[in-house]
Amino acid sequence: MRNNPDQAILERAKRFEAQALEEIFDTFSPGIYRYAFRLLGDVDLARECMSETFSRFLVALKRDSGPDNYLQAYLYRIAHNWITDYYRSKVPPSMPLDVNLRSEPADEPHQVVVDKTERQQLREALALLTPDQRQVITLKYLEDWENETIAQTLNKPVGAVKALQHRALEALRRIMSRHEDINL
Amino acid sequence: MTKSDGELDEYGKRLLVSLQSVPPIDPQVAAAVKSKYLLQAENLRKELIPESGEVNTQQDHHRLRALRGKQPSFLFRVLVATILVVLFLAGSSFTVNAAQSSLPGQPLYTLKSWSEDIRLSITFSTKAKLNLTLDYTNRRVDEISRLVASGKAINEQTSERFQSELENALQLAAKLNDPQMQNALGKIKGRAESQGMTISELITKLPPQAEPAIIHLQERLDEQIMLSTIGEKDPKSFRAEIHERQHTRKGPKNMPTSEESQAAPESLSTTPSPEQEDNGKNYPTEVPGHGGSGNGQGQSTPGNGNPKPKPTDTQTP
Repeated sequence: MRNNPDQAILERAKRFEAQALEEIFDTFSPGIYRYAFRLLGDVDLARECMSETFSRFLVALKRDSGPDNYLQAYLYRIAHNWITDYYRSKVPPSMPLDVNLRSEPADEPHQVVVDKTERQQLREALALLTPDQRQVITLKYLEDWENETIAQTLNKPVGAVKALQHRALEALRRIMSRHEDINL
Repeated sequence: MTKSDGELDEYGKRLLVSLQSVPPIDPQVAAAVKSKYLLQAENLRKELIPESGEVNTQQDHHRLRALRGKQPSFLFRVLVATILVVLFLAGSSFTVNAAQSSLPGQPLYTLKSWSEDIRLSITFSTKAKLNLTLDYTNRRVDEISRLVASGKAINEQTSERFQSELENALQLAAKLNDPQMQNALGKIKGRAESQGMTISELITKLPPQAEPAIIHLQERLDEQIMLSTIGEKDPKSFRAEIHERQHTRKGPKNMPTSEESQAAPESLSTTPSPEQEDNGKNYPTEVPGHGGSGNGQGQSTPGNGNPKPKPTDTQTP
């Protein structure tokens, strides 16, 4: 888990040193991509989110409004904002079936479809949470971040982060149980 | 952590476990995104140079003003002379810096070309020359983008310089040993893919009569990608092809390009040259998402070319 200050590399990035910028991309882009895919469930959207996150980071550096510290938290915040905008603008589309059939060829077709439906329902449930709730539980349970780092990312106290987790999981439990009722 | 926290965490992990698996990103897609990011960074870095130059000049003016009104003395005259020399040198340097953002057809552009040529001529290592040449190709694409954005035509000078730099990059790569060459070709290919994406976007913004000139450049970039791919797989054939191209370039100046492709070794004869593709079909590049949601060179502001999310107040943290 990277939560140490990144002042040195950020100083170089602010001078647009190519090596520093490349290092930042190489270090953080895989995580940003994973984070985006888990929330969006689509490789093209995840790629677009990753690309736009780093583009906005550069623009912020140019405007001198970029981060002075906690680079990872900053980048995830940009990605999160992008995803929030996406959720606001439209309901996440259903993934084509063949995406999952391709990725898990060894599984039984029926099980593949069930798993895919569950994942899709879970993403739709996540989309119904507030942006902060969504980000907190994604960072906590999918990205395995500590509460302190999540608190830095959200600019909130650790207690507020825990409260958000609690409320988010409660909300998810309610939404998912409705899905189960429908599926039965 | 309390017991209820632990239970909560267990429930959260169990609930979200199905979202853990993520398909790996296609390395080519990752490389294209990275190239676009580095290209944007390079463009932004260039924009910063003249601004810092202006600040320095203003500071120099303030210092000069502070010196005025004092009694002239020998020491003062020496000081003024020194400052004038420094200012002259700084002024020259500022002019060269300012020239870096000039466009073809502008008075300072010749200075920009000269400074690039001089910098290249005083670079001795082949790898450094290659890196510099690749940076210059980015500059050309940037110039073309800015010309198109301002409604101006892409002149022959820029087009020729760009193509010559693309060719030089291949020639320089061919001088390296096999592992270095393959590495360099990967880089050349990455740049060409990224530049091809930018050019594709520009084509959509141009009026039909202006397209042929830029389509030619796109085809040249496709050729660059294809040659790099061949070189990565078969260094020997690549070197033979490059040698042949070099030889052809040194021949009569007005030799049609189609003759170049006829002179290619048999192993590479399937490589279409722009002239061979006169039927208007563009052979596909290897760029995934080509013409998709890319935002264009140095113009990746949120929402630009991105039809899905509507950027709002949440653009940046």
